Amino acid sequence: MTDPLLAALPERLAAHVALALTALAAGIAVALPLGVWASRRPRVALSVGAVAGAVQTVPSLALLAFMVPLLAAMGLRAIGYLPALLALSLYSVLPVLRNTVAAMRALDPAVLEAADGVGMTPGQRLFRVELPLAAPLVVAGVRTSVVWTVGSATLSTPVGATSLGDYIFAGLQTSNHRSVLVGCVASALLALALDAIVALAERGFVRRRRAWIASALVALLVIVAGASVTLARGRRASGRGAITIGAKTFTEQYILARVLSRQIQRRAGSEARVLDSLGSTVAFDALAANQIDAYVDYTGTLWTTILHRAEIIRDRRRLRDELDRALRARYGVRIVASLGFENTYAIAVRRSLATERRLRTITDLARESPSLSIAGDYEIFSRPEWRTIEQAYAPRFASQRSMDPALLYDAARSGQVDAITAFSTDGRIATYDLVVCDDDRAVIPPYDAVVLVSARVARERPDVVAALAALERSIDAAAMRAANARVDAQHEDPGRVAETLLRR
Amino acid sequence: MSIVWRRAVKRFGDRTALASLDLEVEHGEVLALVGGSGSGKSTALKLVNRLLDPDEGAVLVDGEDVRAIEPHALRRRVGYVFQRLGLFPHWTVAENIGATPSLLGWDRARIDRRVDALLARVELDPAVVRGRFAHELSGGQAQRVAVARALAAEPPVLLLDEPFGALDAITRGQLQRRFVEIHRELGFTGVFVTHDLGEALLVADRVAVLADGALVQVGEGRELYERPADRYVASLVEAAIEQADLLRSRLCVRGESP
Repeated sequence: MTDPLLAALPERLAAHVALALTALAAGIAVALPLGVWASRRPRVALSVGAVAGAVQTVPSLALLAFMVPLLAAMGLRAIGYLPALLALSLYSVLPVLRNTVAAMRALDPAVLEAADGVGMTPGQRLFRVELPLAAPLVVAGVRTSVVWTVGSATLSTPVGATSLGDYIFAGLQTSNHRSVLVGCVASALLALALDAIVALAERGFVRRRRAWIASALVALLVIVAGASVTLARGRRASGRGAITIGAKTFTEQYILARVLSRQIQRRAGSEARVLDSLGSTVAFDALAANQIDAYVDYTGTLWTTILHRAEIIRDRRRLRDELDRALRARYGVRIVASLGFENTYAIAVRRSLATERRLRTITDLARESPSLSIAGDYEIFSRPEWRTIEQAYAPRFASQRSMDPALLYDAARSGQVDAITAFSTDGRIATYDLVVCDDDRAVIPPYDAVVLVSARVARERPDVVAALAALERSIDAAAMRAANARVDAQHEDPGRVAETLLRR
Repeated sequence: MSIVWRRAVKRFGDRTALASLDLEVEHGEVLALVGGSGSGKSTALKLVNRLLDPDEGAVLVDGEDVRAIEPHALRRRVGYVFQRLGLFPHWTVAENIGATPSLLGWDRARIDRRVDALLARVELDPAVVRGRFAHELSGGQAQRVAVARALAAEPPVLLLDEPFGALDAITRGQLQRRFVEIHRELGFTGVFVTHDLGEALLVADRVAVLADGALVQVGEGRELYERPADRYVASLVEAAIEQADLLRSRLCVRGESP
């Protein structure tokens, strides 16, 4: 397969299957005994149901993200497979638990009395009478869990677990609809296939057809075996001593992560793989915990969201030095290079609107804001930078909402919103003919792109540090904007674009 | 095997369901427990196979306090039939009847032979009903299967809790007569709970009348008729006789003798 999109499918599908099935197995292993136990204690059943129901109301993405700091606080491996497994297992518990309790409590008391009457022990009663009679409803719960878990597993990408979600997250960020489609279709087909297998087993139980149950088991075994073989082969290929580069969930990060990995391969001769689409703070947490080895972040972001510093330092040199000192002291993390460009938060509007309302600065925008709408990415409105902007300019937008960063620019171009929070290096600002409002009071801090390495790499891999340090001032804002545009507008492969950035 | 209730007391919360019952069923005898709802007759029955345990006193089967026996072991020796049947809906008729024998570890062939013999005994055609499920049976057939299941492991004691209460009059009559025949053939010790004195007189050797958790009188039908212990027993007997007389007078108009 030469298509880079489909070449990754076996590994992602296998990882997705492994993750979803393990989570389901764990979820069912907890839910079934818990359900049986709770069904005999009405008060317990009530509170167990309430807790499981509460877990279910937590949006799955939030539950997944929450696992990262939780596991980190417990000193466990906080990114990748484990947090995803834990969150998905929790998620898969409820349908099975609820149905088990309901099924057990709906059993005919006369049948239970008869089971006692013919001389069954409590265990015999459970396994010969209660569970078989409860089975159809319990299996219905399992089927719900299967569909939920396979679907939710696509959300494990931001916590660093490989899954079919990699297609969806990367595809959404780079406006690559084919990638999104591949991820969605593969995940949907997988859910349908697993659901069909469970349904076959269920019908086999109800109609007592051993052959059906056996075929379902064989189908499941084939899937598990296929996934294991694929994963084992992938693990052998990646080898030991490999460096892992993290990327957050936007185009520039996908490109830069590949710039870093290629630079390491070339200059340090070391294997390097990229872990895409990590949540913004997940990336730093992972680096601090030595679970990724390097990634690119921005000085302003590190200053406010990692160090939680409120004062704003406008001097670039001083900011970088202070950051380096603080990160090194607190996390052992080091800044090894400034890439040579800044990707700052900016507020952008359509050129026609800017001309019509004479919007040149954020002060102008704030003046017109009561009749304008603004949209931002998921983070900006809860970030300190936005509070700083609010304090300095006091805008009063008629409406304010969050949306996927990939959709922001389209929304601004088509007039669905008037102003958007943008990234200054985004290629679409030029492509879509948007205008950036000048930060005339200079309240937005510098956002220089810097390369961070983990404490482990800083200590043990001087070759990697040297390779990355050589990237100092190698990419300017124009080059980065052009590279972003090639991925976003022309749908070029981020790896190929990274190659051209390095060759310059 | 004899059954003895010795000062057996059972309370549910504040309510006393059974107040110090002293009663004995002799080996091979069928005793009917008769009374209205809340009289304690079902409670007394369930003390025998430990579906309930007494708060005070004891129940002895073959001289042994039942609380010294594991419930499941006890119940494999004590057949139990009750009004709501409780046939296992996911099992065939044959599997239902074979329940206790298979728990006792009988081999397949022995269970099969036993199932066929029992189906014949309760007047069902094994070839027809063996593989059926409970929902494919009529009420009378299901009740016969429930009786067969209770008899499957050749129990020396059989407990019946209003077993024929939900059936139509004809089927009930057939089953009552069949029960008497089966008892004559097998000779188990039986306790038969019913609210219907007529039924009790048909199926049992002796009748014990209970009211409000207490034993009022125990004896053969004739004793109850000739020397009722109190007005309640007298009215029970009278009601049964009046019913029979009334039926006769309705059916035999114009003075002909029946």
